[in-house]
Amino acid sequence: MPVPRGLPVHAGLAVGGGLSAVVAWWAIRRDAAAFAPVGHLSGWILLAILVALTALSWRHRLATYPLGAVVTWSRLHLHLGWLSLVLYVFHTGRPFPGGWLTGALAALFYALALSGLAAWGLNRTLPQRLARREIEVLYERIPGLRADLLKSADALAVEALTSAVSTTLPDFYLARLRPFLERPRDHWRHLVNSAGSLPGLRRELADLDRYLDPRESALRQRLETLLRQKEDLDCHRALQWALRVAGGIHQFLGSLLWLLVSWHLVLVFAFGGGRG
Amino acid sequence: MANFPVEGGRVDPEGTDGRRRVVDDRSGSVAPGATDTLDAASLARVLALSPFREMDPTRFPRSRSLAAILQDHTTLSRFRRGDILVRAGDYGHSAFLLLSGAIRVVRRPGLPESLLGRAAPPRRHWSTLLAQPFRRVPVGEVREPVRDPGRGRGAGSQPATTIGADSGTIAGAASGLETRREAGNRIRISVKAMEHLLAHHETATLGPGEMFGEVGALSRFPRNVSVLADTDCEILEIGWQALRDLRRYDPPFRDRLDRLYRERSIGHHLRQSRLFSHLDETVLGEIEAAVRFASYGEWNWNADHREESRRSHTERLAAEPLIVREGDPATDLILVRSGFARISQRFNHGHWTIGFLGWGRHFGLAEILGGQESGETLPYQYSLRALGYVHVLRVPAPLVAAHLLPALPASKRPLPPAVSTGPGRERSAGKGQLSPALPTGPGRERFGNEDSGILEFLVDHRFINGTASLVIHLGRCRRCDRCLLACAQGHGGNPRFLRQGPRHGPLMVARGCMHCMDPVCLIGCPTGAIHRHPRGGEVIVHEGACIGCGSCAEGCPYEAIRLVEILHPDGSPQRDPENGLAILKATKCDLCLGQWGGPACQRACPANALLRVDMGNTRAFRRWLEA
Repeated sequence: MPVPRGLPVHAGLAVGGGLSAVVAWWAIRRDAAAFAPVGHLSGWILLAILVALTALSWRHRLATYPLGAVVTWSRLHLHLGWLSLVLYVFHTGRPFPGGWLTGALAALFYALALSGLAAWGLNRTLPQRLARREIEVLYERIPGLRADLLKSADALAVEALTSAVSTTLPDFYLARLRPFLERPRDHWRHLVNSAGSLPGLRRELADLDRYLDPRESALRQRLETLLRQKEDLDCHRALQWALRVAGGIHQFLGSLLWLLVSWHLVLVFAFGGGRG
Repeated sequence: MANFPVEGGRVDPEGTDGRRRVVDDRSGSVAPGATDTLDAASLARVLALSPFREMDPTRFPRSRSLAAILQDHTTLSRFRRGDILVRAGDYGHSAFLLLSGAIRVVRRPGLPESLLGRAAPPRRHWSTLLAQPFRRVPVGEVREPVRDPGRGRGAGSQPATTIGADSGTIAGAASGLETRREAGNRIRISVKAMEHLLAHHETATLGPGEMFGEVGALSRFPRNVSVLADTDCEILEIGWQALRDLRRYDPPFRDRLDRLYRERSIGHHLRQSRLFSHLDETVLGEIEAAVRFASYGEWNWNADHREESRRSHTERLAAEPLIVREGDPATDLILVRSGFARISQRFNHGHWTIGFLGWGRHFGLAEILGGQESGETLPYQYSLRALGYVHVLRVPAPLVAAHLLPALPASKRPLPPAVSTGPGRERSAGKGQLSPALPTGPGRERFGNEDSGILEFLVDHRFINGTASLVIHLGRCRRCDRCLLACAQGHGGNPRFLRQGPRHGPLMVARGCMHCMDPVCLIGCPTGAIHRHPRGGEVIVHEGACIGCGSCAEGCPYEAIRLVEILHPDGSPQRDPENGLAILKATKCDLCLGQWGGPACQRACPANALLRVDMGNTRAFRRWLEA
């Protein structure tokens, strides 16, 4: 599996950030009183970083404004994300603070960071896998294309039935191939890049060849082509779904975090910190 | 004639067949038999004029008789003194024969833009641009119908987010132009105070029997001069199809055209070329007299391109006219005047594309230089083939060796080719060309880390024509559609390209306007609605003048133009009140002209997966591929 572009840089940032967080935690544990004022300042800085991180979604929305390339914003988003992790430890004084609100905030914060990291990883690897596929399709058109494939396959089966003396190929089609063609298949296998149902089906189909005459064999080959195209569609569906969902989860968690952060701010200023 | 897109009016159309027709604005259809087309009496009159009366009708085949050619592809028009006949920078595909009166050709300096009837670059109001991301667009392609005062009805429509009612229309009323409407709904544009205007311009006067405009028609180059009516005059407009046929079947006419081309154009091109610009006038004159020129391929190559692009590489190569064959003696320096040519080298049983040439590029200089140094005529190291249509000048090698090479600065001198040819030896790199063949043949890296088939792919599909080709790297693309959303945001809710198109490995050239060097979509537009913006060169459609005929969409070899139904805000189609037909408009990428910041699609991509590529400058493309 090829190493995603930029992985060494981000791995370095992760290690560096993690070490910084550990050092910060250790320093604060040694003398928490000395670091108390830092808590407020780091909070404000963290808030500012959160605003900057959220700005990426605004940048997406303001697509026609001359605000620079989104790819630059995305890179900045990534680097600020790392920074926020380190600052978070400075702010809380420990990686896992107590209290229901701060605990929830911590959990959500880490979940958000993890989802961002996961989305980054998927955005690096899945497009390369998609690009290796023979076809390129728009996600919204996949159901329609699948329906067209099924129609073509049905037509081949009917042709096999009407042109040949035997029902071997049509029977096999109905029993084994049509279920594969009629709906999305191997969703999770495609996600983990594992072989799906197709190799097995192709083997069975190839084995059938010893019982077919040349006419039927030609139809069998056309059916096999349709099976490969169906597998490509399934792969596209699975991977493009994953790309969309990854980004969607990250955005959703970000929105939740803002809710909790807003509540945290209210408590900090109204009730002296809201410690539970 | 000058294709001025006119809001709500009808310009003098240069029809696909050169015939001037009255376009029925109400139905959007082209109505034959209009006032200035050749009726029987006009045809007889034209046939009695020189040069047609000197032509031998028996030279023409029965299926393409002289009379049929003239009737189908020529038009008579009358102009008053001061009328603008031809506008510098416009794309035209007709030549003109002056029948009576006189015309003035404005040479140096050219007429200012304000006097050519071109408006300033369209720009939307800042409040419109600011509000764009927040506007809800439940229905795309909505326009507000406008009333044409001249017709008193509501046919035609205006973009609801118009970039300015005058955009692309006749402007300059305050700066010396006036317009008038004539019979047949024709618009004429006149320059006021012509003598005063032209007092500081170098001009030439042509009289009855003289031709002009042949350069643009033959070479498909933008008009390089503006032409005004010096007196009331009558002109026969000869469409490119007629020019093609008359040249083919009547040698004297061909000689006449070629002589005009030689007199008026070759010198201009030589002086523009970086290779020749340092030579003195005497030497240039000698070279000009010796230059030969030729055209290869089909002028309307776009007509068959979609079909041809489905053929194999070998079939395509075999169909491309050969300009120079590898191994032939290098007797000429080839200059590309317009169009594109493929540079290839034999490899095993095929030919390996190693580069392409466009306007202003040259071929054969290294071989001539090597020949001068070795004292013998070297063979061409590569073959040169026409891609679509190409027009070249051939400068004899002895003149190049005698006058050009000695004065050529060292930085411009190519390395001479290795004496023994064939794979395994280094080649020289001509300036402006892509890197030449590498010793080990195809498979060596050519475009960064990608395989060398990229060049073959780009050349085979003629994507090299693009100055803003929409290339997507599928290995980076997250399929998030942010490019499409950004495009739609700037264009009333509908994107102007498709995220689909021909692929080569991870690279896809999306179906969006490439703003070609040679925009063949312009050929045949009856109203001049699709035109090249004179400042930035973007190919844009003026919706007010577009009649939805579809000739541009049909003519685009890259399927980048779409006809869309114009809708009311409730989603129902707008219809012509005269005939009930739905109103259609051509839509395409306009490079976000009038918007902030240039193409929004490229800026909106979060993965650096989309690039607008100028194929004339592949350095940025290579850097992007290697990023």
